[in-house]
Amino acid sequence: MVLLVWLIIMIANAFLKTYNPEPQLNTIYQPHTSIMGSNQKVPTTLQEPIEQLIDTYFNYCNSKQYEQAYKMISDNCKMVYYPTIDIFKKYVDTVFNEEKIYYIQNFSNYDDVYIYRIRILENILKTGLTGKQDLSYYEEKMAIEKNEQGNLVLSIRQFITSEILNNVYEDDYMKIWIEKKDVYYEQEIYTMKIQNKTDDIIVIADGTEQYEIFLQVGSQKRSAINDNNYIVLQPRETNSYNIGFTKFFDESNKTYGMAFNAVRVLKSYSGLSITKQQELNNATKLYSIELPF
Amino acid sequence: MKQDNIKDNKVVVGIVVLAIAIVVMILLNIVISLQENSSENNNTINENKIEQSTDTEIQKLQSMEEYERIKYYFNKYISYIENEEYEKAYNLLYQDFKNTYFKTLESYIKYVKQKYPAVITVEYTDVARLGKYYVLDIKFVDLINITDTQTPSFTQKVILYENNWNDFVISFQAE
Repeated sequence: MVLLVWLIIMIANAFLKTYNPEPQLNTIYQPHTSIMGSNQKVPTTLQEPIEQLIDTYFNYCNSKQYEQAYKMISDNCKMVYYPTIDIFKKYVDTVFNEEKIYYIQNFSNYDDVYIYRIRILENILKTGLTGKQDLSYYEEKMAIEKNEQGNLVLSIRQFITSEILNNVYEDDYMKIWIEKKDVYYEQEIYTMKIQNKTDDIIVIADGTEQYEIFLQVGSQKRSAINDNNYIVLQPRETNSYNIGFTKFFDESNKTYGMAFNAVRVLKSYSGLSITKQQELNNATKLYSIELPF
Repeated sequence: MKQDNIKDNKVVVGIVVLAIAIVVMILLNIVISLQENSSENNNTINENKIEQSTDTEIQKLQSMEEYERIKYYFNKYISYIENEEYEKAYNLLYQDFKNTYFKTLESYIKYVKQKYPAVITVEYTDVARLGKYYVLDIKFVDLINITDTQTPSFTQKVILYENNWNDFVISFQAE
């Protein structure tokens, strides 16, 4: 018994001698603290797995292990950006045209999606920036979230997710299907199909009216991103369109719906400003239509 | 009855001995794992630890702010050059950088002697942190050849990566 007590004391002594935790390097680099909100932090339990996920993906790309990297990307992201691995290879070869390094910074966390900014640059430690005047980098946002199985999955290039909507709207002139929306960090892109049910020409957007197409976000009307949106349907024509709007993934404003604010059903349409008024005078119908979500 | 008490005492002693044995095993485990951890070096660009850091130096570094520490590292590197301790300076360079630009110590010495003035004065124009990498914009001033009208100087970017206290590697614009 005495021997045991003595042994315990000796071991405890050895432990106390060994237990001399070294202070961690003090740095202002906080990769898992969101720069969009100082109080937002990625849960401690996820920080290392996220770092490993990004590091593994990055190293696959850096070493041109295309298939391995491709497998790590979420299905929705692949569907939107890289339906085939050949397209993905082009992206990798462009961004990773030489040996690269990277660093990450948590950008925003919302709805259990962790968004990181990644900056990819030449291996500056290896080159010393020799021959370069300035430092340049490629930047994108990566979204990381858990899938249904509880595994972390990665989306790249600002992509967050896709949502199937399958909303159908119809009036006497048109039938509209809003099929899905692709959510990116800074925008939402809606995929829709529009059918002209009339024997006239329908002009939804040609850049001549204000807010021809807009998204109602909170109290704001947000015009479609691309000012060159041109939606003119010939009699009985059906066509598909992708229309994007500025909408930050982490903003709290709710999206209420979309609206076509200046639908023109015309007997003739030239697209020329000099004949515009005459064509409008002969219009079968001028109206707006709301497409609530 | 007496026999039962003796039996109970034996059980108690047995439990105590077992508990002590468990505690001993746990403690042993902790000691071993701590020793293992201290020998591990996680995620480091492990290159050159040319000399044992003194406790004083480490303590000094631990009391410094981040950028102050980074400047200290570079000053240490440049003082090796100034004191013609070229091998020590050379050993602080990142291995892949050396492989690309200075395969031999001789080539490095030749470069350093041509590039830097005998008395080196450095001004930190900028210190930027890119994740775990630091990019230092440094202005070197040649104090010996300074005149009333001219201050000979040049600028150079330096990349520094810190593995741990007083454990770092360097590269620079080799031009």
